[in-house]
Amino acid sequence: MDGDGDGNGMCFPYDVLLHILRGLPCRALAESRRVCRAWRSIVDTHKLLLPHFFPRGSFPGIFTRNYGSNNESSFFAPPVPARSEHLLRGSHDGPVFQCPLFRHHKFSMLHYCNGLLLLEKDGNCYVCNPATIRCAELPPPMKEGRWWYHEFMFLAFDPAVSPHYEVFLLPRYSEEKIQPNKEVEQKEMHVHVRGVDEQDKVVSVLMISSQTNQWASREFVPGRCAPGPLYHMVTAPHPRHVRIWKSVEYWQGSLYVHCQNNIVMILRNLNGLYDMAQLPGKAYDDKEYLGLSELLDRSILASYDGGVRYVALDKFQLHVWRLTESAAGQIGWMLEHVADLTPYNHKVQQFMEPRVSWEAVESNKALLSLFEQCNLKEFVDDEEDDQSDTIDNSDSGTTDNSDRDTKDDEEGIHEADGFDGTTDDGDSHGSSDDACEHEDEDGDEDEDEEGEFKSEDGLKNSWDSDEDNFIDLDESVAHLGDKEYGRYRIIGLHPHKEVVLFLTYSGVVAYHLDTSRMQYLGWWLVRNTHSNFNGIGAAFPYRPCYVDALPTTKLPSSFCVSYHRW
Amino acid sequence: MATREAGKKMIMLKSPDGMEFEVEEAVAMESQTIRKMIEDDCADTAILIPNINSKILSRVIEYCNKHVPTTGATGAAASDTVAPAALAEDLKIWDAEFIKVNRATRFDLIQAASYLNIKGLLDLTSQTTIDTISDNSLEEIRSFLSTKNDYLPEEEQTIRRENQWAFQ
Repeated sequence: MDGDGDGNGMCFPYDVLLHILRGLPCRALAESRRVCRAWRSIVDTHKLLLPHFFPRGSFPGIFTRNYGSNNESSFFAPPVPARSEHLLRGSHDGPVFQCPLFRHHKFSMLHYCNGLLLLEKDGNCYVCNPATIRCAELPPPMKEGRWWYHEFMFLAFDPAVSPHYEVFLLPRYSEEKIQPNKEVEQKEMHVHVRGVDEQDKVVSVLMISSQTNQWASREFVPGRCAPGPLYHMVTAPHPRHVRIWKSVEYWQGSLYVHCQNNIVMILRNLNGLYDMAQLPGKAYDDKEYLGLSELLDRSILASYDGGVRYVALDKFQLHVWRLTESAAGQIGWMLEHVADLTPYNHKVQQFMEPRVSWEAVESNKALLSLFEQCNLKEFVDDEEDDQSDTIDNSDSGTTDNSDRDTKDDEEGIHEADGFDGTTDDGDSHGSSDDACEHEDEDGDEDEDEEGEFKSEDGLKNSWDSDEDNFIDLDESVAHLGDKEYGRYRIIGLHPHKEVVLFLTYSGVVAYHLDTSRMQYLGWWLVRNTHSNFNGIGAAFPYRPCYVDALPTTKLPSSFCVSYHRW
Repeated sequence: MATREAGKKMIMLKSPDGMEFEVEEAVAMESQTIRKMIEDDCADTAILIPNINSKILSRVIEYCNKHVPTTGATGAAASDTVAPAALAEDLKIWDAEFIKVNRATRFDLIQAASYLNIKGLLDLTSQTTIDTISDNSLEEIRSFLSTKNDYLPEEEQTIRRENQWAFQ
């Protein structure tokens, strides 16, 4: 027995202490780190807090980057039920999720990774965490040419590994000539055109870590699976309008880069190597994708728990492959799912009135902003103070306090909630740990919790992922004939479930890979659209993370100015 | 008193302070540690349970006696007439009474449950401790555990900051 502690906190056998700590609810567990060093070390070593600060199950909605809209970005979410009263009373264990909003019309969303957003405004870049309402401004990587490099910037963040994030700026292999006056910086700049035979197939990127907050160049050298021809296919100079990096997914320490010419490149952050492989299935012509939207009908997608997949649509034929990496370093693809979505497409066209519809959440004063302090009480007060000098919300002038509170319940606070109901809510069932810790897919439990909530609050409008808006195929589909119109584009993977989210001609749908069923989520991805030439440039299914290393300090004054003006 | 049925194999458990406890094999085998000893034939005569004094060992045996599966165990007669749910409820109440012990005894029970690998008892004692930790202030927890605060003030401040997210 190793337990007899002498004031050092090890008053139980290690296993028992671990078991006890694991059993603690969120706040008590966080506080247990303060008891003594030994306890903190156990909590941190075993990452006991991870299921609490990066809760499994919550899926509040989808962030989008827009074009042609009044708003540079949107948040597409299910309706928030008025269930938050007990949260306000402070009896809730663990963090309360607030609507992850910022000035949608001002900030463009470049990338997203495990709870953090990479935003851009007026050429400046910011890393934000909507859950903690913290934000950091990135120093500019170069003095000139700020405007066009953003599309090559990607965020990497894994709260299980470190609260620190990294931003990668992938190189540009443009046909265009470098301006001679930039030669001093050329060595470090991504604009550097490297002759393909010049060096050993190195991929040179710029990166910044929140630990140093300085841009530095980093070179990735070929790993065990990096065929030369593929390297040349990716890095060969190309016309400026071709997107050579289509998307980047960060998973378990590596960047999975979807490159031009149907290639995946895996930049391994841990050892500075890269691997490459051809994507499976039918090859696509990159010239197809010259539109404003970067949403493709084929994407490399990663989900935190589910690994890396390649999802491809050929019209309405869906193929899903799983990326496999052998111990010997070989990259392979395993075909996981094949489906014909044609009948669903017909049905979606007809499916006009979902029971509960997701929609773009307005970035108005009723919602918390990223750039304000997160305390709800303060927020409510602030809102009243700010009333007179801000925009004319039609309902704002006359609302009394109680109405306002209700409104905040409905919109300002948003429990970590979404598809899966109420995983982050512990106090009413005393089971937040259970909900978070169960690594398996615990659909039944979620259903129960959701059920409880419904009865508890008498909710009519809460979203139930296991029931709502499923598109049932019946004979009527047969009458629709073979006429195919519209097109599916891939939004991303559900953060926890085996679900692919698609943008279709008539809205957003969720396709369940395990049951081959389709759900209709809603239509209004973008609000306040004033022209037909608008749409979604990029979309990021969002999973909140309550821990980061972002500064708690106030934002630069220019921000505040623009905010107040707003 | 436990009525001993004919043919029941008995096991002798010895505490380090020299006390001997004769228990049914089924009861002793509630402990996975003892079960393994018995199955490995290391339990010919008496099993010495190190580190667990007779007071704690007798309580552990009391627990195992109560929790041994009712078929063929003591108290089997009663279970025939009582519904399983009611029995479970009964057991819960009994557990709640059982764990109403002073701090030192509870710690000893945790140690014993851990060493003897008795899942039910370990769950019961840990849950009680989880509740204690959840319900008390930091200082109370430290004094409950007889643990010193080994942080520097500025370190404590840092951890407080790190923990803020949970209280938002």
